[in-house]
Amino acid sequence: MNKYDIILTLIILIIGITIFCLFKIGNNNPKEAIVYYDGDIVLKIDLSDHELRTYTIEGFNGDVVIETIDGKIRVVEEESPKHLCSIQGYISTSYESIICLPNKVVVEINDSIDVDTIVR
Amino acid sequence: MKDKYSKIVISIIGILILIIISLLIYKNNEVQEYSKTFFYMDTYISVKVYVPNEKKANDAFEEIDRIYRDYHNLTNKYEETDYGLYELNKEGNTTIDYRLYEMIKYGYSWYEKSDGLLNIAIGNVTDIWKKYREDETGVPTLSELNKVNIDINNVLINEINSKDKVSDGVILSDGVTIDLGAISKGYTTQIVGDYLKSIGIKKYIINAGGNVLVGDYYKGNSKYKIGIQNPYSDTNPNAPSIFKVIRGNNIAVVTSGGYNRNYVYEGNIYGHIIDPNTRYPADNMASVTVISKSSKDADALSTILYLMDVDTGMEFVKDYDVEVIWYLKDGTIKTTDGISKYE
Repeated sequence: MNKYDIILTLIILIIGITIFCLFKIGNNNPKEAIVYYDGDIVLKIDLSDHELRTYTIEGFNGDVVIETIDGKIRVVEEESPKHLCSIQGYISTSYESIICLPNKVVVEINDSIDVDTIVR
Repeated sequence: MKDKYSKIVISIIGILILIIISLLIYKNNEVQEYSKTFFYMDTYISVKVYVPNEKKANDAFEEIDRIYRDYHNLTNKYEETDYGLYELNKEGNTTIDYRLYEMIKYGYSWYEKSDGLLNIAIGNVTDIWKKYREDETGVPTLSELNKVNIDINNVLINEINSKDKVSDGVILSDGVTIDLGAISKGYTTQIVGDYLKSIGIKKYIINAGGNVLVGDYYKGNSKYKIGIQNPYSDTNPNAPSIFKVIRGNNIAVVTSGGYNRNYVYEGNIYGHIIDPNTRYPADNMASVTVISKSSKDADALSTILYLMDVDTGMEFVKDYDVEVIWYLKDGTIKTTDGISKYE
């Protein structure tokens, strides 16, 4: 091997590593819950840890209390006629969502392995 | 020797510069996901666009909000809007917005094609069912349902070309009223998709309560993965929540089913899709999903197919460039042959 071979090898290596890095960037999607109020994102919650945490956000009829634990999320309290979204319980995959129509609040989950959307 | 070295150094620097330039170009072309939800047409609508900057996204969201709001108001049977459906149903003949006129014309065009199954003149019957669904205290009797008029012959459409207000475009007689629930979401979603394309946003995903419309995939040469909900996932907690994944770009996927917007009375489930022949909710299957290039056609066809038995439906869709998945009440799944191109 002469000097040029070594240089050529180096160049190819550099190009290879660069391409690898390019595809690596932006591919890490940690599992997170996204909470919307009236169409806008009001809260992003990291679901990758197992702590019990509660959050309170403002809904259309008053406070909406959200709880997360072990990568799951649920609505604990909200003011609405039928309490459909607190009855629903936990969701843990992007297959599911919590929709509190009276409060204009939506909880969705983003994770990298699942589908892009669901038709219901 | 020195000369060789400098050549090597120069070429390495040159390559590094090339790599940096391509990195910068890549970064500039990279799109970000922006999402927003809306509440219109009795449903929650989620829109995601993939664009280079926030301003482009927000401008698009503002217009999308306006489109859904306008169509929501125009097609609303229960609240008064200028030149809207409420007015038309009440008066029978009044000036309406051209956008409402065109949607009515589109809905009307399905009556003959579907052998009367998609009947936009069904308003009086859906009103009765809505009342019972909200009260959850009973079921309308056949004589109550038969008393009202749903005859499409009492809807007269006149050909009018206008991009403003339309007079005498639709004339209703003998108390008939129009309901656009079977098509309004898919139709409006189509308008939104067309709008996004017109401003150069090709990468998007819209989900409007059972109506999904996707554009180009946001990254690389891949395809969107669209899950179809298992109609029985709510009643059986062990069932997987989706039963099939559709892979594709620039397609609409629309599901009709009896499992949402229904009510239970004395152990029977009453869905929201009414068969104009029996005037009762259809109960042929658990759900049906249509994949089409057009969101509005997919919405209309999913309603029609929900009202047909599977064999009739299988024959019927041969005339259309769509693929269909039926989820039967016993859990069997039937599909058209071409479904494999989306698997």
